[in-house]
Amino acid sequence: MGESTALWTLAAPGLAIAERQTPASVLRIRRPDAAVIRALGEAFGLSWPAAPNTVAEGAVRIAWLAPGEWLLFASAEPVGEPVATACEGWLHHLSDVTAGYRLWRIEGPRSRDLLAKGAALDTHPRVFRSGQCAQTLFAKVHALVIPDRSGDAFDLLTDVSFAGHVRAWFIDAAEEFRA
Amino acid sequence: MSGRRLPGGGRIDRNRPLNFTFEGRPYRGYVGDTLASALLAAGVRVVGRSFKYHRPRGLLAAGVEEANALVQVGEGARAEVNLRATEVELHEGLTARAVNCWPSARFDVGAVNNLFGRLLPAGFYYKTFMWPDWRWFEPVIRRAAGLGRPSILPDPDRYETRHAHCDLLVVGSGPAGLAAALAASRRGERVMLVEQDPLPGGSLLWRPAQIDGRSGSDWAERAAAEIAAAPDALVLTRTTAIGYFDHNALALLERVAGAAGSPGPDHRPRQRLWSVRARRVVLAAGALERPLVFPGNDRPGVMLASAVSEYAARWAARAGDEAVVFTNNDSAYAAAHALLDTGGRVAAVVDSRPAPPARRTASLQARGVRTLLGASIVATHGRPALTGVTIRDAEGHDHRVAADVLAMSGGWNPTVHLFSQSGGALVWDGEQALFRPGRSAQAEVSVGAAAGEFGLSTAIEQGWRAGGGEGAPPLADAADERWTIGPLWRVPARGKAFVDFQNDVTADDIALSARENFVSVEHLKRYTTLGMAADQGKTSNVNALAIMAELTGRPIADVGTTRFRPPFTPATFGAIGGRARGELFQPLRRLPAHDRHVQAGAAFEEYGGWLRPAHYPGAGESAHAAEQREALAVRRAVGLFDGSPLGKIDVVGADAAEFLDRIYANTLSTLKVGRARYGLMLNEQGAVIDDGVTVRLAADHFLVGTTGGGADRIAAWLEEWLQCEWPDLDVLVAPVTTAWAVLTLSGPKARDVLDAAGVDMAIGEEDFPHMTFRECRVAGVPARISRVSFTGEVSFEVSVAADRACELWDRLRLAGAPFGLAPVGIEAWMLLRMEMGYLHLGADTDGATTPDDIGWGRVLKRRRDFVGRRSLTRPELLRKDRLQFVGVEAVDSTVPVPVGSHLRSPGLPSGSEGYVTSSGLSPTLGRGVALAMVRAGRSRYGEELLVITGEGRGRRVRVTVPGVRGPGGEPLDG
Repeated sequence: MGESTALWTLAAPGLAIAERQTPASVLRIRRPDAAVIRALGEAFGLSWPAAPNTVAEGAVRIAWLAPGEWLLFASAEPVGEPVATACEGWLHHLSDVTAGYRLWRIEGPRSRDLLAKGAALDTHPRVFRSGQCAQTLFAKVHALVIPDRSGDAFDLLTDVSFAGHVRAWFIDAAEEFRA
Repeated sequence: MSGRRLPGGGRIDRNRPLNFTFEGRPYRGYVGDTLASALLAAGVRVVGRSFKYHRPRGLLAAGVEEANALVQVGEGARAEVNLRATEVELHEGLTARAVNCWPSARFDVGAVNNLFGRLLPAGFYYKTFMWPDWRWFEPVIRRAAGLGRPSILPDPDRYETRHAHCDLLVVGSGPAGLAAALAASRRGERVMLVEQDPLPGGSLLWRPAQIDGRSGSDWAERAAAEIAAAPDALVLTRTTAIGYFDHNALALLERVAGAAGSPGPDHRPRQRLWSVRARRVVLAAGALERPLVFPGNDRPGVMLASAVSEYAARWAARAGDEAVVFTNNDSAYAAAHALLDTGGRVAAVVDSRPAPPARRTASLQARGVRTLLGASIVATHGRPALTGVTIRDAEGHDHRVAADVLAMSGGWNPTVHLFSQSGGALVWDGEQALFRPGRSAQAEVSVGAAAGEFGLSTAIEQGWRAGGGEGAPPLADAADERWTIGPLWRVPARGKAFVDFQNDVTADDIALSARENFVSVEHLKRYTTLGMAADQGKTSNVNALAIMAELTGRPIADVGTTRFRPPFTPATFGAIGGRARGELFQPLRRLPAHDRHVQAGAAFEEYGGWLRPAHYPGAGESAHAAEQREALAVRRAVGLFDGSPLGKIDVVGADAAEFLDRIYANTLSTLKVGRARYGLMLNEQGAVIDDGVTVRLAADHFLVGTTGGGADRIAAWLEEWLQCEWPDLDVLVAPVTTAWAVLTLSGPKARDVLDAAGVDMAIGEEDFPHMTFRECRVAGVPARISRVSFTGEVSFEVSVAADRACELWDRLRLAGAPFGLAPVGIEAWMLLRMEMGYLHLGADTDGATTPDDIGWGRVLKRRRDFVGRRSLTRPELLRKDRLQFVGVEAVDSTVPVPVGSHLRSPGLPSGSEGYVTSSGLSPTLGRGVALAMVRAGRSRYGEELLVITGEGRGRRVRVTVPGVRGPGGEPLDG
């Protein structure tokens, strides 16, 4: 997954924020069982994140959203075929929501302090690690939060229509970290 | 001269003097002083006036419980009212004045109330001023009451709120709290230690103690430093735990260091409100000393004994030269020693107990201090401040003794406020005469003085264990001494004896309350206002209920306490609001082509959570003119409208059609692939909750359209029915609203514009008729087009991926320019649908509107069941005189009738028969058009009604079918 150019960035001591568009699709399967989960895992070459609030990383990053619902960090086109093959015989639906979301990368030693201002989520590395994800209200809007392997970085996914609000919130929130 | 600064000692920096003003007079203090300690050291005795009687008041305490010294700090926009002088850290240039007095604390006009005190007993405003009308007196009394004058200017400061999580939250950094936090941090736990003072240490900052071979304050400093250095620990000073809620959630108010009161813009917040979730909580909040209740106990110079000691030890400020001590327990003896140690004189120690522990009295007698046992103080003298007291000895003889400070102690109250807020039950400890924590309701433990354990070793031991400490706790060098008390709840003598200093409630007021049978503590509180001041009765509650117990002959435990409520100390609204103000107050959604609308000069307004163009006024054009011009463009040429917020939900599966038949009030299963149909959704009560156009993409695939404001709500509504009621249906629901942008071309030239922009299919009327749907490319952009119309003109609703909205906008505007295309805002769009008589859900309907009310009764008379169907047969919904959706036209002029105007038949004397729901000036007709809900409206077409409210009052309107262009409100085909 190549990094696209940032649409907007913010830097403050101990903190860097970048806004990007990310390829994204939501896969929904009605009442998936172990067989279809296994088939999906095989199709994508990873252990499919069947457990709530988990993330799997392979060629495509996949996050659990709800029972029978996953976010694939890929547009529908490249994953449509493997998904259709693995889900053969199951009612499923893949919608490309690339244009519907924005991805915010927040990194630096201050990233947790920043998140704590907008979300009630506990992001301490002992309780929120790489391989997990969470959905929470952040800056009063729904967000998917994924901690990065590096420890001090997080990816946030929010609805594209709130991008203007989230950007304004970040600018204001980073004010107290200014040198 | 009374109070004075001692030549040495104290935790103040004598090399860093600070200038400040109090009541307009300049004073000096030092870094480390509070406003209270600096005033005491400067010999200021009167620091405020009491709330009701405007009696002169001096410092009562040295900490958070201070009831008298309420001050206003700062000027203008930064003025902050009702701060306790004991908690205001001194800084250079600080300006402060007393609240509730005019023109000054020393000379206050309102003191006349004191002379008429007989007329102002408890509850006086319920009784005295009821005739002829309370409202005559209210403004005067309200002005005389009240504490401080808050600024009405916008607050220039920043405030933050944030969340935090920890394994252990320790409230209070005295010896017990420090031991708990130290133990837990050594175990590697996530620890938060909260201290309201700028310095950690609690009582160790002023009480002589030795721990692990160091002075108490030295040990505290090192312990706090060790905790702060632990990787997962956080020490927050200047931070008060103000609320304890369910699930171990606590609110902390942090006064951010350095930012408080400093002038000029600063990027640091002034205060920060923490919302903490803790696995375990240790409450080590210490204890507060109780005053004694005797006549004249509020005269400036009468102080809590512990405050006398604390001012001397911590701030090198001696409260007076000539002291009398009045106590019913052992702890006040320390104050006598503190005064003697700092060069003061102690004229007498008055102990109400006939036989206090001999070693206490002996230690003072050895220093030449007279001790009177079984005695009490029955009067104080001096104006405005204390010059002497009258002591009544055990034999009943009165002696007048000169004194400029009276140190009193009525015992101690563990600070159980947070414990009580957490839901824990208090128990009465008769031996120590105090309420202490009993059964806990949450994962919480109280330790040290907060648990009624006053020995230093015991406090440290308890804290250490509560923090999970293994091995030996830090060691206090002296063994704990037994502490004794012989309760004296009030001195039986004539004169105003204050119980609640801040709300001016006396022992007599409590007696009055008892006489009038307000004997429950809850009634006592409300009748006398006891404990209802800003200090929430920190020094008064237990005295009051003990007096009530005496008066009613009940045990104190049976009288009980009122419930302690958050906040422990007052919190600013700024901190509660945090950064959620201005544009961050409410998150608003922006359209995919937001920037293009800005470029087109849009005036934005909020509609259903979206920031949308209301209209696009040209240079010098009014909002009204823009709206009229835009609407005309649609009627005569073509308009371009951004309808992106329209909800879009994919519904797929073999049972999709069945599912939608149950959800919608009308039938969707008969819809052919590629066709569109308008639908109504009802709730179980039969009320209309949403409407929209649904298209069928395939036999097992529908795209459901909802109102802009209903997108999230309806998606959740569909999921709820699927998951909870019909899990057997083979259906998936996928909301995709914001992934798609919707740009609508509408007007007689719409087809020409679409053609000019380039579309890869035939769009003639026969090829692509009204209420059909196609997937295609517009100007090279993959698109879905619906042929639906909300304006009555030929319309093409073009949906593209949201990130291609700007591109499509540009292409359509370019292609439309030769045809006179105009961007159209919501206001014109509403006008156009109003002309057509099309319903706008939420504007023309409310939460009780049924399908029949809006003319859909006939359509729904079918066999199959759907959500809300059974409710439609309730008698109330079948009434013939329900409000029904109609058009109204003005009879008397072309001016539109205001929205909200109520209507009534001229023949009726009173009441309303309906109201106008939508109204505007039709640019095509040059007169007002309006829609309304009118009783039995559909049977009253042609009838004239009177406007009975608002600006249009007295005007006449005629009831019509909705809309002025289409027959019966049916959509026009294009």
